[in-house]
Amino acid sequence: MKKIIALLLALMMLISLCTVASADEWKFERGITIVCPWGLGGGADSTIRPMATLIQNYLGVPVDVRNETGGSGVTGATFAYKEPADGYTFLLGTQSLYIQDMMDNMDFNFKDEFDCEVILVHSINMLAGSAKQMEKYGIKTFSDLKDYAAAHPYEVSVAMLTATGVDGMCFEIATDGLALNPVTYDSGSAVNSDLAGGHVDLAVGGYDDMSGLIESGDIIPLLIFCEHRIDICPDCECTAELGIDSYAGPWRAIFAKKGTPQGAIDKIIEAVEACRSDATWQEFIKSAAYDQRVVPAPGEELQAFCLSEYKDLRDYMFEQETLEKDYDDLK
Amino acid sequence: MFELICNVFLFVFLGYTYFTHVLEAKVPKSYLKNPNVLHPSVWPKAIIILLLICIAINIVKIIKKNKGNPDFTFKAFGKNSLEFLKSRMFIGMVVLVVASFILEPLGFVVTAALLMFAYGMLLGEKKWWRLAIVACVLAVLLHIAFSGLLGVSLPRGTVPFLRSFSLFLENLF
Amino acid sequence: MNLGEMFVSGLSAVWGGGTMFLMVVVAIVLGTIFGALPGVSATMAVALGLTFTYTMGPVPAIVFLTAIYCSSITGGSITAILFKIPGVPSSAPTTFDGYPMAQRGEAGKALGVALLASAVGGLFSALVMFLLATPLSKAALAFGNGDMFAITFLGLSILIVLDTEHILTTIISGLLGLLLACIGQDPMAGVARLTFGQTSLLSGMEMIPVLIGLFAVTEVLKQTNTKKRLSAEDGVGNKGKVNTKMPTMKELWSIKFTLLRCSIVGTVVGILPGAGATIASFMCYTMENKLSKYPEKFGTGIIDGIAASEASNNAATGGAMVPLLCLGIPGGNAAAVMASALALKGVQMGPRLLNVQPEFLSATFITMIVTNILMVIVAIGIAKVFAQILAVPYYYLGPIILLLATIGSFSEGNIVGVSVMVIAGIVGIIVKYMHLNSAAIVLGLVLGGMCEKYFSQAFQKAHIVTAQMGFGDYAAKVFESLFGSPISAIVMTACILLLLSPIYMPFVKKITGKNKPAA
Repeated sequence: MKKIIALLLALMMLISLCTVASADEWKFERGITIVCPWGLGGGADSTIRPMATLIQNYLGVPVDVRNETGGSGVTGATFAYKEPADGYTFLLGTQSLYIQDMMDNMDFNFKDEFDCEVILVHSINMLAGSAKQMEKYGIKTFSDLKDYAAAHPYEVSVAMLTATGVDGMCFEIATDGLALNPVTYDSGSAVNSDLAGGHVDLAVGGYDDMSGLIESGDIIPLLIFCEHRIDICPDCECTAELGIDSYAGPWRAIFAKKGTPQGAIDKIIEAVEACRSDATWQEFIKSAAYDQRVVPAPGEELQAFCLSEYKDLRDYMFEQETLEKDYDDLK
Repeated sequence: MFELICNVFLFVFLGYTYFTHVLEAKVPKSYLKNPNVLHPSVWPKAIIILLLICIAINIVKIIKKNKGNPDFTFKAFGKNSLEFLKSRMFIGMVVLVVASFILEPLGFVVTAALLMFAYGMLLGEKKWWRLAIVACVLAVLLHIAFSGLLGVSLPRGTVPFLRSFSLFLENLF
Repeated sequence: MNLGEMFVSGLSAVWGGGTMFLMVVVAIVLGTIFGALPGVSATMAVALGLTFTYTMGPVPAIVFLTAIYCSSITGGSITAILFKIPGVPSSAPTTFDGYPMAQRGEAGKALGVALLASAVGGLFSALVMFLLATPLSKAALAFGNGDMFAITFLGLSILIVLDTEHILTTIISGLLGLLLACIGQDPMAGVARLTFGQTSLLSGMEMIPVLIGLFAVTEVLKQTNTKKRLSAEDGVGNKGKVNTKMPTMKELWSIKFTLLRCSIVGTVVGILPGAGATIASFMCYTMENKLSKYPEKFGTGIIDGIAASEASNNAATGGAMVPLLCLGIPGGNAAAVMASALALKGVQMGPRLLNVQPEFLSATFITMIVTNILMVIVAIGIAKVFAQILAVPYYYLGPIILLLATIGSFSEGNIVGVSVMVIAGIVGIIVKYMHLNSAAIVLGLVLGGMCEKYFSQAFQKAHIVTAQMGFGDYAAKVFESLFGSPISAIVMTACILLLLSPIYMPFVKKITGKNKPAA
């Protein structure tokens, strides 16, 4: 009996030695879970799934995308928060989680508990109109829209997914002073069918959501919330050339809980960076126009970017009187 | 009597909710700037008002219906309640509530085995050892099948060794 | 491509040299089993099926996924009948008659009717879609927010005839369901409502846990108190044997009109995105109840009830594919998963699909047709196996149902989902004592969110005001959003007639002298 116990002890020591030895070079020993707080088939989900497959091939361990939906992302974030920070659970996040955090909708301080590690895509928002309705109103450009809205206050309806989110923010800044009628929708497909049917006049959203109907001519782009025009709609004006200070677009990034082993984080960042050049990923980001914006490099540049995003959102929410949780270091 | 008490309770609770908990946060300024919007409190408030009216009518109906009914007293209600507290159904409810509380810390495997065992005993299985074996085996099998093979997430538990056990099961295949 | 060519190209895609056909059979087996497992929704079944399609080309991939999608929806009726666990809200009415039949030991017959009815409904809608896909999807676009509200409200108005004996308590139940649907962030401004400070309630009441709690858990709790079940040592209630006898031709022939009516209603309602299937199944169940010569038997376990619910919800779910393929607008979550899978394979969904890649449209519809035919054979085999579970003594079966219910609730709503399920199970008992109606609560909860959303959207776009609203403006806005378009005006009038029916029906009956004896 003693011999067996001694053998077991020796084995355990050996195993623990192995873990210590491999501390500098992190090696994933089982599958990784990436929590996606938004539904199957949605924008966030369809971004992380192809990347997860690529990371899986790169790292050689299964990478599982787990959708924990609800509460504008709060459910998923809370789920990731409750998992141990052992390097096997990561969170897919967007700035919506910052917003929910500052609205005090989370049971923990998201900003303190999670770090943004690597941004996958930074998409570009746009304002587009239903072809049917634009023809009726005689609107071809953003300035036409301004004139029409001034003459017919609140008549032009604008669909958007979250009035309090990023879409709402970039729209609010760009159309300041215009009497438009923003209507909230709960899914991109509902927006698209109402645009195509002419039940709503305009919509704010990502190019990825609208590309199909833009190509078919059912909706026409009016304004791109970007620093430059984009290749796919070269004729459409961008906010920068009109002198509008509104560039916010949703970005999707991998977050890690505080305390996650740095080795695991580095490995994930390395995998994402390596997979960016993969042909399938390149094709994917091209099809959704994600290639039109350069994402900040992991490390200091990314940290500075996140802080500035936080500050912008904080100021906007303060103005809207929805800021409930104020982080002192943002001021 | 129970029906009456429930209805009165519901009435009072809804009344309280109407005045205190319909809106739990501030409505964004940009939303209210537009005069065409429907205020977020309108829909729930309308439903509560309709409910209050219907429940009030229902309360009157119940009282009318039970006029002269000898069992329609607080005393009879007290007696029935005591009986209910001793019933198997009440124990079943307690078992379920306990299970929902231990699910997160202990994880699916342990909770499922305990729940199956407790409820099986409650339903009258006499061979407790057979039930115990079946419960443990089934809990493990269900976890492997759903979490390991089908990728349906199940709670792994927060107690470290139970968590490692769940992970071990999930990675068997 | 004309219809004939499309038919041939579709058939060849499904046959695929024999190997594809085998894959379709595999997909049906997988889909039915996935669908029959609680916790695996049709969406998840499709997501699970994705792993098989990585190496396939786009056409085989959509054939495979469509087969899984159709069969998983049908598989969902198996648990609804055997354990009273409806996998989706639209199979809730299936439990009304399916579960009592299974309890009587007629599980085989109930499952047989459910599968056949599903197949008929699915087949009908697939054929209609195949012939009329483009005009139908255009028609679906004509529905604005006000029209959608009217249709959803019609689904709610059914409450009034759900239980004509207890109208007041049924209305209270429906309103409670509507109020439950208000919990969480509101659909327009995203403001938290009725959460009582609980952040876990922000995402609202998850439907599936409530459904499982009110139906399955309540049932197990009720059985716990039944003395008879406890004393019967051998096979509880069903004498240790399950009759897997399938329905006879005569019985099937007797429900032919039920199947036809419900397939038509299901197809029409299903084209509308959102809750088409749920509205359709509740609507058809009530409609058949009203049309039946023996309405008092509904709810006691008759095949008409199962047929109504299953034919209509399958016809409706088939319809969800039309907007996906023709407009690129997924009609539901499962369709959204398929859309993203196909997008990865380079399929351009949307209005141009029919011109550029018509083979996808034909392959999908032919797959739906083939799947619905094959499913009858494959799924009945699986159902027979599942039905044997009922032979297990209740002191094992009861706890197993609880475990499956837990898995289902957890996968849909996390740890909160399990708590919600337990609370709903206990509430289900209280509801019985209060003479409230669980089905009405569920209907209110399922349709409540949509009702509010569509109404708010319509309200915002109707009768534009530029300054603070007065009472007149308010009334004008409400009126215009309810009766502003021809479709909504007609549907809302139907709703009002339905809602007022308890008031005028006694007079009508008096005049016509056709007074049916009460059940």
